[in-house]
Amino acid sequence: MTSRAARSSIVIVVVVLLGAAWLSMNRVPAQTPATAAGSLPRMADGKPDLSGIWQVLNAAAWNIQDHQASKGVPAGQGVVEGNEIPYLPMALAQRNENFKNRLTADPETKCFQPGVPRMMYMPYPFQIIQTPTYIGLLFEYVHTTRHIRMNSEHPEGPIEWALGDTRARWEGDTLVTDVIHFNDDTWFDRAGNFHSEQLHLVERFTMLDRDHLNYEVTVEDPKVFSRPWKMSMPFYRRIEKNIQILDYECQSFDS
Amino acid sequence: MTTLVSRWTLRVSVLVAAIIVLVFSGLSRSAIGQAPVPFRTPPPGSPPAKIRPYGQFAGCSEEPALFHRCAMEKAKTFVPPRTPDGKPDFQGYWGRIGIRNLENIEEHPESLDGSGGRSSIVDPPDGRIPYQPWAAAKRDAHFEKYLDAGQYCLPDGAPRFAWGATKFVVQTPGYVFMLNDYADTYRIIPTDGRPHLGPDIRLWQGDLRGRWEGNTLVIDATNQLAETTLDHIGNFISPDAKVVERATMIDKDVIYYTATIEDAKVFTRPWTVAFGWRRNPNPKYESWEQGCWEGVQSSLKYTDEGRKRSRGAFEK
Amino acid sequence: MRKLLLLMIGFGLCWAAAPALAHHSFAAEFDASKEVTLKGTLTKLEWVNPHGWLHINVKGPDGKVESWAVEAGGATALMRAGVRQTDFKPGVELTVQGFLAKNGTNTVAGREVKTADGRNFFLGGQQPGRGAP
Repeated sequence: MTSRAARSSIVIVVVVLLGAAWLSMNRVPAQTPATAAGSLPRMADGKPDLSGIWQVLNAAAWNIQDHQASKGVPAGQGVVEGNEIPYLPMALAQRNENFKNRLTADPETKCFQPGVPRMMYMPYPFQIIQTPTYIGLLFEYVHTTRHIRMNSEHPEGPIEWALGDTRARWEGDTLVTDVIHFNDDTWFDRAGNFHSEQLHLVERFTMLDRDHLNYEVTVEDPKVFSRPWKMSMPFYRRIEKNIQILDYECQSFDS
Repeated sequence: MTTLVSRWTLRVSVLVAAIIVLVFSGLSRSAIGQAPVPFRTPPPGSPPAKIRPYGQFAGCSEEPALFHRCAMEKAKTFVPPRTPDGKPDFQGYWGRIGIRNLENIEEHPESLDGSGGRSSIVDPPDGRIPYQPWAAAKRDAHFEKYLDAGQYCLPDGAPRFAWGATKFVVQTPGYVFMLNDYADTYRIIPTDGRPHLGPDIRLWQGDLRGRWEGNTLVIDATNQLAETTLDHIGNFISPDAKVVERATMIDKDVIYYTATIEDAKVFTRPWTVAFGWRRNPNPKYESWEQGCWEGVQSSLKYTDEGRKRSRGAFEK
Repeated sequence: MRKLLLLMIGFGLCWAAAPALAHHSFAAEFDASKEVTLKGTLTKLEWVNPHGWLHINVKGPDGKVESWAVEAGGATALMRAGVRQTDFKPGVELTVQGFLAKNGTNTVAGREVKTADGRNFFLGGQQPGRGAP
């Protein structure tokens, strides 16, 4: 190679290398699974450690779909994938009736349990406690406890619980739950979205990084919906020093 | 003549007595004054109350004062299993020993409310809560007027939670958790040395801080709302009470538990309750949902007598 | 008809029985001196915690039918004893022994409940000596 060609080659290589360096500096660092996985807190058994105090930052508790503000109700971008809830025709009529009467018909206005998944996005913190065989969700709102049992069977029905029965397993770094045995006494939000006792949920908890836990729930209820549908939202870790769960004993204020 | 008069007097007395009985049995309780509460503490100097016999656990009698002495000895030598981070491992499902006091933590006879029991109070030794006189009077007048906060599915507070229904204990680094079968209530006890909350936050379960002293879990409870009484009959503390609970394993299936209450607003001196926990022998036992507020609406409606919910002894 | 189970919810046998009683008092609501026996048919079952309720129609001596509410054990405690809501079908004939509510309404705390063919299921609403040992 002539010295001129060699110099040109060197310049080209240097330019390419500098360009690559410049590009990598300006690229928004993506949270690839490999990167996120490396920085997650982990249990001794290698599973992501979800322990801590978490809370949503959305308006889903009022209305899980897109909605504008009204008195006492913050506006919200919905948490329903596609913003559509596939009600069967008769069920849609019921939902609309519920909405009309929501200030008295919503069980939550009587301090009844919000149920699942609504409890997950009530605007109050909850604490996740985690062992290899048991995960507990301790909610500040009306001291509710969700018991999540690993790698075990649902008890035999018929059973009707406000929170359902939850059994879970790990799929890689995602906690996957199966929830059945519901009653029909809870709503999805204050807007009248509801379900029957045939509700079946599959939840997926995936830590995005140390302080963000992604929550996705697939909803199935052949009595109410024409097909399964999904909601998703992040939980944010409450990082304040000495943060702790307090209480909200709803029925104590009026009785 | 005397015999005729006596016989006549006797007949009239019997007739009058019968009328009295018939009339009074038809009247409502409130019309003739307060009916005796069936599980009141007998006055000092009474013979022992009639109770169901106690059993034995870990070689100790269940009877509180006896259990207390026996368990204290065993606590000195028993070596508990350890969690991965080196703390005594209390995890699992636990029921009660010796604490037959949901209706009254002092000595009381068997009734439809329970088996009856000797006093759960081991200090002072006479087993009576050392109330200031105004407080004893308040306690005596409580039952007829108020419904227990438990009837409203509200949390127990300390130390009542510790002798409540089945508890599921979970331990993780820096925490002990107690999950109670009653209304799915729970206690979160940080053991990481953080300070208590300031005085302006009051909680139904109180603000709990735990630490390990050797093999004993020591739980400090402050900041209570104190709207829940200690039992149905109405024994109470003030929101300024300081409660110290101590739990020590004395056997792989038995925990020895004491709770000392210090409250200068209500009592003349601190006092201590002693009881035990026993491990649920069913290895497959699970806590199941015990929603309460929804289902209790029927009870409140059908048995309503106009009693108000107890809000503790202190006006808010 | 599904075989009805014989339940002995004595405290020593049923671990979870006590919580149903634990947080309110029998004596506050029911009269231990007023035990009654009722014969009727089940119309409705409230399968809830902390106490379930049976509703029965009872025909009085004058032929009038009255509705009575019978306090029973909580749903979870009964579930642990292997009982399910579907075991109690409306229309079944029952004989109930229980204690009257203090408020004078047609309400009892159920002590013993038997079917017409003599099978006994002891629902343990508020039972003697069922406080914690």
